[in-house]
Amino acid sequence: MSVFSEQLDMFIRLCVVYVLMLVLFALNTISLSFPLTGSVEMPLVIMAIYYWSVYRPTIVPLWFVFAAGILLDLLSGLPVGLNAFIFITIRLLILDQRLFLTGQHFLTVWLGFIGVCAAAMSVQWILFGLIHWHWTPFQPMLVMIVLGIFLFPVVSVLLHLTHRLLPMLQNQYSAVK
Amino acid sequence: MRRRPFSRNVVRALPFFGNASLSYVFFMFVSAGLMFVSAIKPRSFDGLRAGTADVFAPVLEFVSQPLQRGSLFVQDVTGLAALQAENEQLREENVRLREWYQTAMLLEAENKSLRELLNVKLDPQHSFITARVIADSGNAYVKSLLLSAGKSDGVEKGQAVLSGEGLVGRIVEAGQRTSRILLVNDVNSRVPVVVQDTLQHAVMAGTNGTYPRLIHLSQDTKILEGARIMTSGYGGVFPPGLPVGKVVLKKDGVRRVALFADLDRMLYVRCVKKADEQGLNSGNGLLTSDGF
Repeated sequence: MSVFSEQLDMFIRLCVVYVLMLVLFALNTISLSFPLTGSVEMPLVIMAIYYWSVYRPTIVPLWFVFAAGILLDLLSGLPVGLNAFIFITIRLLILDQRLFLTGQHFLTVWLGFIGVCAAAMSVQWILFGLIHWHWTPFQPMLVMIVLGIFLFPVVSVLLHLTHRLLPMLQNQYSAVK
Repeated sequence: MRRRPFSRNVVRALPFFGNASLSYVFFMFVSAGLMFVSAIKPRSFDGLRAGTADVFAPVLEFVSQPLQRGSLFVQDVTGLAALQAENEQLREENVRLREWYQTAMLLEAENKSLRELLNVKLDPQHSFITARVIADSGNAYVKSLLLSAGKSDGVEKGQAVLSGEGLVGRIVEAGQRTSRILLVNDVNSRVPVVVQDTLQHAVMAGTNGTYPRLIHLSQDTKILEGARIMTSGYGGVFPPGLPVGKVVLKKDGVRRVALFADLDRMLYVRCVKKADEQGLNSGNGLLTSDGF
């Protein structure tokens, strides 16, 4: 296989990965309506950032995570910088724990996501309240956390399928900053 | 011995960053700075938001259409049981409304002749721009919708937005092809209203919940449950006379508003666009014969 065809092959595989992330991003900006709590979003971008930060951080470099956060803030009407700050923090924390998480059973990774999702939603609620000096109802946060918990296995299966398209790294467990 | 880079020493000196690189610190400070600017000057990024919505609108529309249709299908299926009762109710209401239509036509003709006699200046007539809801871009914090119409279609910032039933919100950002509505139940929404029966003025404040509350009521207020609420036109943001909702009294004793518009189930909305002012002596039909 020539160098050009190898590069083209890798490019197409990466396109599949990023197209899935684009779909997750678009779905994240759309709200679902629930009784008693109104419209809430699915934390799909957090799932993607968490998954790739654990298994392949080179897919979500720091500038990419920052840009995704800024775009999400612009499209969803939140204060600019809010989601970017949260996503960068998630990537920083997960990279610190990556060596532990990559060797664990999926249930452990899922538990880790539950903690990350709950913390991220809580920080988002607190920061929004501090910026606008108005505390919004907390129930939608709980719904988003529960949504995230139940959707993570489904989304991680999709992400894993796209992950299998990519060749294994030579040094799979190196800490990538 | 190899010396640690200066940037690494700077980062390690900062609390909480541990082994993080300088790039993390940089992006975190940039994010915090942007949040600070958003807090002080919320409108700083309006142009950027509108441009971003214009760019991403086709993707959002493509992704949201199946979700919208699925949501409507589920609502239709679950509402089958109530359809028959609603159908009967609508038949009775139709009979009553037809009787009222005849009375209204007589009153309109009388009103028109009286206005001409008194040379009364009429409020300018409004025209509408109908737009499709691309996506419910709101969330738990911001209640907003994205529309498929923008400046190129005549949509402007500040225009009121109506559904078939009542007031929905107002345009807060207008790009070339898309625009964003701030819904009336958003925590930042304030709508000057008037109670139709008592002509008492108040302000309807959004709470991010289903029922906005009425504030700035006088101490001796006598607003009864079920009273109709309309826009008062104060402040010049919303045209007067737009239907908003009905007063409800909740367990906490606060007077709230049950909105006429179903904010969770809208496919098309109308943006109110002011037309040129009418002449003093030209009559204006207050009612149309649509539907009757």
